Amino acid sequence: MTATLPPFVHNIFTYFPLHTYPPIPSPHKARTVTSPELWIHAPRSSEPSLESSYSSDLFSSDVECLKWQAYIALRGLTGISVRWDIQPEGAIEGRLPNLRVPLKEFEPEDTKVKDDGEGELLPAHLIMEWVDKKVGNLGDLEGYVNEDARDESRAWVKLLEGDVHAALEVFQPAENDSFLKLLSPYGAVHHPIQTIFTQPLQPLTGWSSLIRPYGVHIDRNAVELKYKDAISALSERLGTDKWFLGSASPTALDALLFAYLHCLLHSKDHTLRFEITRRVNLVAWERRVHSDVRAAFQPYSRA
Amino acid sequence: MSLQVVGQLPYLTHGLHTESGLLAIQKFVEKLDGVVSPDAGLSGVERAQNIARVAHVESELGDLVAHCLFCLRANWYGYTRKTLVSELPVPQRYYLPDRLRLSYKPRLLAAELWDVPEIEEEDVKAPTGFQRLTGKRRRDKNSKGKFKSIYAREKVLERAQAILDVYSKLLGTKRFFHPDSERPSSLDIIFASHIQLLQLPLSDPLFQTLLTERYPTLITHANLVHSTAFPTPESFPPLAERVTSTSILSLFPVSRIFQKKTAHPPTPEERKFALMRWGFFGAAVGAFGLYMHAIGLFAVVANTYNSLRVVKSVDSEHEDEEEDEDEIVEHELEEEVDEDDSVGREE
Repeated sequence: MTATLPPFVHNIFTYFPLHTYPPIPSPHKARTVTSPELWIHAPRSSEPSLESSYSSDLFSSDVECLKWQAYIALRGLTGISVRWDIQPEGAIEGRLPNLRVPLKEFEPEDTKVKDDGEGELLPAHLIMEWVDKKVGNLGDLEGYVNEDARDESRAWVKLLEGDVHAALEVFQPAENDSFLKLLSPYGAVHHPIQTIFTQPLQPLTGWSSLIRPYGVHIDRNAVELKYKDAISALSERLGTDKWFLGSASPTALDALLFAYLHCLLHSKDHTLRFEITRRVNLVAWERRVHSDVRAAFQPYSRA
Repeated sequence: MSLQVVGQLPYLTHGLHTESGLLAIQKFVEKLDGVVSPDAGLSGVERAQNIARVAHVESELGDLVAHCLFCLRANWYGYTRKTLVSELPVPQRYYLPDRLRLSYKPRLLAAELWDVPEIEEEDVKAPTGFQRLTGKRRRDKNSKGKFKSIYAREKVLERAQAILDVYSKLLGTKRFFHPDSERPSSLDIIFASHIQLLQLPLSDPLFQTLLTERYPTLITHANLVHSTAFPTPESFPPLAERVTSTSILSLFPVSRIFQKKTAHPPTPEERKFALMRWGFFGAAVGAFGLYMHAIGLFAVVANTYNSLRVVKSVDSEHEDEEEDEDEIVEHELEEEVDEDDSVGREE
């Protein structure tokens, strides 16, 4: 049963005609992407270092970005270009790293999207899927020796992302803090420090004061104690193995460990750095993996 | 010795020494005489694995315990909030429990454990008077919401199962996680404490049913650790006095600079330092006074003060004279007027 408009209403609608215009082609086009590009936070400004061959100018200064860089490299991929001129607000959900790939490498099966060369932009959590598509799935054991090792790896991941990350956040001032960011009209996607600690932190105004809770009070001694324990545990467990937990080939845990060790060794705080430099096997391991990871990336060229 | 107010439990005071946080307390207690560490006897690698597993358990199971006690509405209103309110003094008990609950929000939001909708308990409510009158029944609009809440609860259960599977496999048939299974290690203690909290008989038995149905070994492990720690009912440590009086002062945030140290009789060293401090400031003030006297500044100050006083009194005399003069002038004027009048009348 089709409903028809009464002629009276139809007459009224003729006063509000609908005009349709042809689409306007935009002169701006994204550069066609031929090889995968990784968008990261900027690396540390290149300092004149004593060892000129030890160039780390392509490694991000942010731990998250470096984790994914290391993961991509350790899974065996090469030829990824890296760029850091993208503002973090322009990333998906405001979080870098993002990966830009040609469409044919990550085409969802059910859509027929015209390939105009612009490619697809993947957020961080889809990078693993893309790598699996390119290099092949690691299987149920995820590259570990046995199931016990895989279960143990979960604990080590939690240790790194909990205690060590907390120490990094607390002792190293975030480089992104600037007054201009406060004035920025875009809501800063700020991941608060409370998410790293298992126990809620006391607000600066106190728990039971009349003033609304503001800020956090962090117990630096406790964070330092946990950090020292964590680093001694890592060093003890690594021993002289080639890859952590005795795996035959690098795993996600190795990427995570490399990212944290690299950031800690280049941090400005002496306490953090000293704990790692005391442990020779960690430093040696980081150096060895450094060259592996560096080989996979090249700087982005506008050609 | 400064008292660093951290604002987190657990908190230990041993004589004059204070420690805050589980790890700090653990290290402090292990240094005391006659204490055997629970991790004694572990090799280096095992100790390292222990540390990692403790971090894992504290993080994952801690989130689940927080979810169980603070997010599940039946538990929050039925148990946690009631207990907190009964323990806190009067002004705090009205706003502190909610504040504590909100403090868990960032972490649980990031872990996707925060807003899990509840299954409403009402199946069929008795029809209200109006409904009976009109013969209409309230249509159950919640069917979609019910599926969503069931799905969300399933996801939480899956997370719990993921970690509990790992540790039940690690425990196997042993008594404890400790390699020689004779004494509980620190991992045993921390794991058992979380399991006991998850196992509390609460209004919303989400985790309790999961543990009793699928992980009975973990429950026996938790009970075993508990009985090893507290073999008899008398071995529980005595409870400190409960503070139930109103504390208005805690409404105001304490400035850390002006925090008074706890009163205790000053040690001879402290007394010596206090004496030296007073002596220093007294000598400074005395030297300042002597110097002022020596350069005659005192005399100058006194003179200026006196002259100021003189000037003031002279001014006031002038004022008095002026007032007198005014009065005399007025009298003269009046006399002149009278004379004029009288002269006028005469003529």
